[in-house]
Amino acid sequence: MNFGRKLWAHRLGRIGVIMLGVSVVLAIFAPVLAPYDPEENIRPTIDDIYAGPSSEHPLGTDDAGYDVLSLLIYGSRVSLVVGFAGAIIALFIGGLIGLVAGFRGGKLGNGLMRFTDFFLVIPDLALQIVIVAIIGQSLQNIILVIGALGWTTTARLVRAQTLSVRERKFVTRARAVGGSDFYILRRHVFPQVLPLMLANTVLTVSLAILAESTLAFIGLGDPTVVSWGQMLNFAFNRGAVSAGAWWALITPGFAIVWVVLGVTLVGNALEDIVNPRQGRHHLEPEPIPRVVPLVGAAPTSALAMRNLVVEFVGADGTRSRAVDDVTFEVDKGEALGLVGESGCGKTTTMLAALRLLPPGGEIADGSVYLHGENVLALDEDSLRETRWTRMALVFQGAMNALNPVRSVQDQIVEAIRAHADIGQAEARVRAIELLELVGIDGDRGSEYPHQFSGGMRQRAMIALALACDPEVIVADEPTTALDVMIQAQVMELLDRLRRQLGMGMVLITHDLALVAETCDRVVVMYGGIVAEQGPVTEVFAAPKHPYTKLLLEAFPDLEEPERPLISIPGSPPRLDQLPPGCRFAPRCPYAFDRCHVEKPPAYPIGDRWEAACFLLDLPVGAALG
Amino acid sequence: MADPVLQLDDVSVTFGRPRSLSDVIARRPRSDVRAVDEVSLELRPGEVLAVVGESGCGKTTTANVIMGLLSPSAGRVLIRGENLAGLSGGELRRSRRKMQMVFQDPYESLNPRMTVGQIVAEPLQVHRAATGPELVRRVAIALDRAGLRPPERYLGVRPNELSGGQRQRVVIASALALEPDVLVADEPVSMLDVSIRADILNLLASLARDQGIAVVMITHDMSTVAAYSDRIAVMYLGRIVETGPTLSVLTTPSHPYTRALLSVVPVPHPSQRKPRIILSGETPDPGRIPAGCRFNPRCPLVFDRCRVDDPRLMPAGSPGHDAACWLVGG
Repeated sequence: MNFGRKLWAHRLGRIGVIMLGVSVVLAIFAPVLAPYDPEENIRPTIDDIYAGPSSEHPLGTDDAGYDVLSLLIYGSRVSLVVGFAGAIIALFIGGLIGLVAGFRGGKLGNGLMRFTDFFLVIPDLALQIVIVAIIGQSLQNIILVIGALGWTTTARLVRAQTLSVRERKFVTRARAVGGSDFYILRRHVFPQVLPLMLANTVLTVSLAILAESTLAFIGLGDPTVVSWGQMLNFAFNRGAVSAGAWWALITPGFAIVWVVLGVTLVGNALEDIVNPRQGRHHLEPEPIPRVVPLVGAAPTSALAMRNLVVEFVGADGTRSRAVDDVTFEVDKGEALGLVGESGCGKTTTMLAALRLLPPGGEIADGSVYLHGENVLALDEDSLRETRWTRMALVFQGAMNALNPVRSVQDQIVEAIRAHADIGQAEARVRAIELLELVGIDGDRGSEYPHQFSGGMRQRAMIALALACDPEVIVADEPTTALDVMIQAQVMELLDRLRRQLGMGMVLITHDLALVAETCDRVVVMYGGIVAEQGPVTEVFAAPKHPYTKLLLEAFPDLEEPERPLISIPGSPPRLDQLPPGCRFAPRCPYAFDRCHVEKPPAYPIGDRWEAACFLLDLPVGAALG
Repeated sequence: MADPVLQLDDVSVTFGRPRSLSDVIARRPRSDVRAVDEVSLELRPGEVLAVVGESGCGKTTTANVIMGLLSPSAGRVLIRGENLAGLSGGELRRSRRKMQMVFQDPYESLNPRMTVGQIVAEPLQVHRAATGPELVRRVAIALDRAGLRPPERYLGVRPNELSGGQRQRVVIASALALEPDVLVADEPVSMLDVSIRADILNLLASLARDQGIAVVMITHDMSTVAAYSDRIAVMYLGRIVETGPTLSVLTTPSHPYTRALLSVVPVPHPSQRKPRIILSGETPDPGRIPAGCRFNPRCPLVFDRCRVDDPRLMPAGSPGHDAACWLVGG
């Protein structure tokens, strides 16, 4: 089974499985493994009471002369039975309540959750003691009580998971197909919730084992069976401490710790498998990039990327190149469009420029210059300074990046004051100016993000990006989630501000038409490399790289409403399976032998216009028609 | 011409808005939101209709009415001339089978734990339309019609092993399994890369052309549907403000809103940046529809009458091309 194999591959999980396995084997084969039968009536002599470890009794004897090792082995039966049976009861109650509360929601869901909260706040142990004392100390009753009181965390967890699964699109689809509630719950929701439920149940097992030991220790265990808690109880109450019989005290404690630790390790490992985390922990410091010495004069443009290489390091140490040898420049006041299919490295390139790569990402080579200064050579403090004051980002779906509990104006004031040494009042005046600049009434600055519409929030984000007069503004799909009319408003605003403030702008988008309307130059990326770059007018009129040409043909155009669109067959290469030659060769209708073995260099075509394609190396006239 | 397979007659959908505590104290009446207001549509077999508009214009609500996920507060929905209102539960379910939906997000709308075979079989099983070998056969036919060939290769595959375009084909195959008369596609390509959008649009167009399925495409992007729809209906604040043959609407838009919407669609020609009509502000709250023409507060060509009289659809030039604007009716 896949799940089992993953568990075994998990280092701590494997230790847990072994620990738990030992206990289970002991419990099952107790009659065979235990040297003595604890049920047997014995007549102890005074020497048999609290006798120290010997060859006859490896772990000594207890107050009644019984063999501690045998008691320990038999005790594992009770612990495991109570643990698992209690957990199954808790799983059943908690799972059912969680599923129903999460799926149905409304009054019923709320009612069930209040019921759960009620059980969560009453002290478990106190209630367990009272109930067991009333209904009697049988093993069965103890299991029932532990199960009936231990389901609350499961219920809350299952409800949260169910809620999130219920909102997912495939559930809507199943509903549209005509599936009943029960069908959707059974077929779509339950399988998604189950792994988490199981992982949580394993943790409930350890709680149940502890609860049983506690009850037995305070004398509320089932007197007819041997359990570790009861062994401790007897040892404490019957003079083991004064007799110096450490073996009678420590061994049951050790057994409890052993099983609980084993179960917990398994539970944590299962949780890791169900909810995997990133390979590298996000708190780890970012690796310091290597500084490539400058050759020739420092670039004078607002932003210059020189031979940038970005690699992602997987959990197993494999490296994949997300960005390879990318070189381009953005002048002051210039708008550059960075286009390409998803996963071609557009966003990664710009994140690398600010050294904001996600965990696992590394700048392996190349340089990034902001007005002649190498960003990769900056220390942590100057980097922070650079990040908003010289180059600012407007993210994709940025309207959701505002802090919902602070007013829009306060957030802009905060950004200004983080980077400039000015007073609160002055910063507020500046914030209002910025809001007016992006077309938001200054009076509305004191409102909260939820009072703004999507378009207004996106403008507020632009105001936030402008807070420190950046020289370059990077807009990553700034209009993707917006309606066409709002999109036009936002793009017009960005364009006006760029001209007004003389900023450089990098527009990351998949929308070629947007680039045509707003940008001076275009960089077309494919599979982490620059396929073609040049002035927008020239490139769009006569693309030189087949990828640019095909992308333009696939793009709808209202000027020619009847032209059917043509798609590019295949899909972009996976980063871990890059083709040896030109990365576009497998999809390129013009590819010839050389393309499959050799990487094409960038061939200059005109003024700051180049394309990486071997067709340009062919005799004149053979290139793209 | 063939009889319409689906007809909406003056359909309105009204949502009650929950009253806030201050409303209750001030004894303000419940304010209802009219998401769709007297919309009439006709859909014939093999026809592709594009419903275009911004968010909040009622296009998704209209789609939900067509799908039967919502029932209209007023007006009639006729399927092959039969009024849905008069149908019993079982008949209703059977007629619903003939309407299927293609969702926007192929990454999210497929259950990651199910195989392609299970996903496509699901509608057949839910409606108990087929079992055993018949089920297998119909799943294979649906996959084949959605362009996933050979079908056997895809049966056991899980969605995460497929590209975005292939996933959208799986969504379409699952919608085709019940052999529907009508496919409602809600932004079928907006989540896909430009390079593969054409594949999905061509597939939907060929399903309409070759198999006679009527397709309703819901979108906010005029340029995408231009080459693929026969008719366009432009919606604004719950109403259809302009409708007609696609080419006629695109080349001679009559309603100022349609003109503005068309003017802001970017075109990939840097040398011909055209003047754009950028409307200020955003679509008003559907709970507070302006008096007179609902577009008048944002209309660049507004005149006195627009603020008083509510224009209805009236003929605008070529046959079948109507617009709800006083400038058209004269």
